[in-house]
Amino acid sequence: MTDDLRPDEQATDHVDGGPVPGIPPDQSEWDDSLPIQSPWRIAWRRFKRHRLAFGGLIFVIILVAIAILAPILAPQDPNVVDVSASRNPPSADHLLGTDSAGRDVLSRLIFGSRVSLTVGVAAALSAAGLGTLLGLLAGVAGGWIDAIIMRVVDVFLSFPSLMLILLLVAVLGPSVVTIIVVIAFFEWPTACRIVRQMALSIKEQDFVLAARATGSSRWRIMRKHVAPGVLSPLTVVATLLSAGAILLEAALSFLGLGVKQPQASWGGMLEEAQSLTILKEMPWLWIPPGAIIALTVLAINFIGDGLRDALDPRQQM
Amino acid sequence: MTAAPRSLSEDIHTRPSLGEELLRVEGLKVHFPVRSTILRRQLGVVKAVDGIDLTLAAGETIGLVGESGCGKTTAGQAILRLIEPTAGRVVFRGSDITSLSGRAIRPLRREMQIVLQDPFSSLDPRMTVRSIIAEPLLVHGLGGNSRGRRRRVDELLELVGLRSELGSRFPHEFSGGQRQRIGIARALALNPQLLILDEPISALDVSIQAQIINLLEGLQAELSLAYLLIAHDLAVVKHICDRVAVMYLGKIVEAGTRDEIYETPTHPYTQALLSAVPIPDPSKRGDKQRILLEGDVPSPQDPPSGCRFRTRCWKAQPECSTEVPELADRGEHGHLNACLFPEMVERSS
Amino acid sequence: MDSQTTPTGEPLLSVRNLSTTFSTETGLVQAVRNVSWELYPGEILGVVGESGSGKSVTMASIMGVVPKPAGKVSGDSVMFEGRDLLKLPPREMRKIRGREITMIFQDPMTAFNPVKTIGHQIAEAIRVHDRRVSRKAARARSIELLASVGVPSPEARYSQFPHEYSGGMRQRAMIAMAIANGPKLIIADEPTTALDVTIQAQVLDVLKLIQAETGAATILITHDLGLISEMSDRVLVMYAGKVVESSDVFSVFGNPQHPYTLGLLASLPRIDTRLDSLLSIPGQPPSLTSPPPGCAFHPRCELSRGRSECWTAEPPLVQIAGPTDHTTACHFFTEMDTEAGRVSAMLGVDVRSKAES
Repeated sequence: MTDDLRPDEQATDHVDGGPVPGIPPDQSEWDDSLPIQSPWRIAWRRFKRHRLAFGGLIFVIILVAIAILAPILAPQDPNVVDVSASRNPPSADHLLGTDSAGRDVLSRLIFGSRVSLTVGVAAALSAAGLGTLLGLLAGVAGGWIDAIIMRVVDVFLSFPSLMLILLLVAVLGPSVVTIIVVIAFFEWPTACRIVRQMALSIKEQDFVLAARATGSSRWRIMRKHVAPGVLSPLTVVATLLSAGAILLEAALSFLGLGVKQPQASWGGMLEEAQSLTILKEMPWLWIPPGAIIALTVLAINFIGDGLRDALDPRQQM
Repeated sequence: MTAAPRSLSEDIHTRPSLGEELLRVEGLKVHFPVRSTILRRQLGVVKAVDGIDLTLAAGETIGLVGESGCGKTTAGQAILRLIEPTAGRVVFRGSDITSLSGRAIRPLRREMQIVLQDPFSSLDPRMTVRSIIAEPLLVHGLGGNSRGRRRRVDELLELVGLRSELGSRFPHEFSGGQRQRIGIARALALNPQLLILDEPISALDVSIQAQIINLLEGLQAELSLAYLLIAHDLAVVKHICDRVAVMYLGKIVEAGTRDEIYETPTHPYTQALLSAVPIPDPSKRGDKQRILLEGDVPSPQDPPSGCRFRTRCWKAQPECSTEVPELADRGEHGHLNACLFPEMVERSS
Repeated sequence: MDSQTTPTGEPLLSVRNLSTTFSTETGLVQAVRNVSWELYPGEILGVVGESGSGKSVTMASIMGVVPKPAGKVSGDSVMFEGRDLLKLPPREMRKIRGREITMIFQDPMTAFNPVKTIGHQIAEAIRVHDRRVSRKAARARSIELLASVGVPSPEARYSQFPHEYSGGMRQRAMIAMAIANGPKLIIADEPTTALDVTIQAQVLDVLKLIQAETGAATILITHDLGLISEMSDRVLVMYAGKVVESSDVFSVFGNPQHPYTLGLLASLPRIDTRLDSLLSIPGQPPSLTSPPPGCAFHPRCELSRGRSECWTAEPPLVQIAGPTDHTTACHFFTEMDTEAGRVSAMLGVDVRSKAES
């Protein structure tokens, strides 16, 4: 430690004019070389320490890259039918073998990631968006608006949603857009509940009282204080929702209610595994899509866990 | 009494001369309904504040003291209209603000601000210090452009003894005392005439409390502020306040100048309260008679009849349960008390 | 009542070079840094310090309740009646906790189990340490204990739950539980901080009475100098994990020998006297991950005024010549009288206690 770090010298170090006479300055030591610790920077630092979550993030980034670069990466056209090469085991030509229609499994797996990720991201974002809007409305407005929204949420959460999703998809006709809309329609209540709860707890904080005392309108308090506050739990929820959406899409495709053939999707590839012979004797047809679904969902859930720890409001920043 | 105006006059923004009446509170009541959890049926009423009167002059400090649950914080928030008063009037510089709408009351926010107790929850953790202090300016469209606001925030930071470079940091990077300085800077941003200080130092470490007390005193002298200090610490109130009102279960039981309250208290509750404060001087251990009160504070949902203090009062007479003692000058004491049998007790100091 | 004697004889508790650290996200927190002190039988030892001074962690270290694995306790010894608490196996330690050494916490709501009745918990505390006591006898004894701490109608109160007690009553029940097994040492950690001043007075009254009756040595941890002055026989002043001054209560308040102690006295608003102004201690309490070098108080010290000794050499806790057992950890304590004079001139009164015997 050297002389120039002495606090009494620092105290006179004010930019314009120095301290106001008669008013005691703070006089504490402050190391200006320390980086500014914004809440998001702290969360990122904590997230990085969470090894599984960080690994999950890298896995998902690679997956996204694969989905974007699919036409370059895929060794074959995923939709070219070759009846002569039906259900061939893995070989030099077809690294993961071929399916019943003689299509390359690896290429279909690579293109299938596009469907899964699109559905996962889009469904989670729409569900989170709708949930946030209604959750904020319920939390900030309160009263009968809150009561109505929350009863609707209760109704949604008490339905056997899978059955209704099946019904709706069957009625509307299967397509990527239908699946996204239907999943979002049934998953928003989860986000809504969490956002409302968070909004209510932020409303009780003293800084909201202080904002009211300065004359901030309700709308401004919602925009400036409540909405940014719900963002961190919302990130966690959206992540977990996207994992759920990917699983749901796979389940729907498995049941033949997913994307239309011949478009490749992981769940659709599993559809073939409904036959016992294939299950027993042709593992290349179902193990790769099954494994990739499981790994993706696991990776996203790890990310969710990591985010939850990193953004935990109870932890001291 | 004049009819309540529909908007505030521009006059309230002119600075009053010292000693001119700033705030008058008449018969202020705040009652909260108690409802059952499921059917929301009203079970009763908590009379958190049950008819208090106060006046505050420009540049003056008045202390509102009492133990937890006496209604002092509720009273402060009701004066600011952060909680709706059930009855009574709040008059700021001649304008009755009790029935103004949320929009019409906004100009008043420039003149009356609040400093809260908890330096941790009173600052939004996701905003920089600069945007926290600039928020009131933005809300009221004051401070000009972003450059002008920046200058004003720098000025405010210097005013509360913080270096202006620290403005780009976040609240959690500061200690409790520094955060309280930030909260004070926010309250001063609009250049108010009156600050309501709600336990501004009780959450701070002992060595930091004096810094904030001195800061508040310095600011008062510099900016001719009036303070309404809400506190439970009798020593702090004695150090800062010109006048003191003692609250018990929603009512003021004694009010007077600092010397009247601390040197010659007349209400038994005030006497007990003062005698219970531990004194940091072991040589005075045997000097004073400690008055030990019996039992706990009764529930404000079901306060005792007559004098609310009678259930813990060692002097209680049968009259005390039937007659409600008004806060009045009962002669020979020179200040107001709400006891049927007041007695002046000289306290050595 | 004002029995001011320098304790003699064998100490009940003797702490030698105790240190406690916690590993956290931001680094190693040195919560307690090499402290040594004694507690004598029957005395009330006041430990005063701000948050982060290490006063509560010291006690947790003695009791063996520092959260593991983040916390690490090291040191030469903590001798309690011939046994070294640092080396005692957990089994033995459990026998001592709750019987020979008991604690009273700041928040009795969390110290009691909310789903069991108060009486049941006191009776359990008795039976945990002595299974030979019958349930009936434990019940009778618990009611007796509740009565002794001034809980009205103890028979009925026995079967009430913690939430049915008011704050002051819960703290009385906590005291009853603490004395249930005839402890030799009671550690009261901020026992009245959560209470209102009139209730605090009641609880302190009970605490004093119980202490006089049982003769148990008591450690009173608090940030409130008023409480220390009214309750304790001897005082330890802690700052940044170290003991900076210790003596009998009259010497500490009458003739403070550390600038921090004097600084606390000068920054305190008083109800018993009128101060012209308060002299605040500048700056903030130090970081415990990287405490200031030398004397941890030097960046805030008026007496140091930048003298290099203060930040290059760590002042040892030294004995001051005189009739009392007064120690201080300041390089320039011989200048404390002049410093006190300067402070008095600025405050308009001498904040030091008058009675110097």
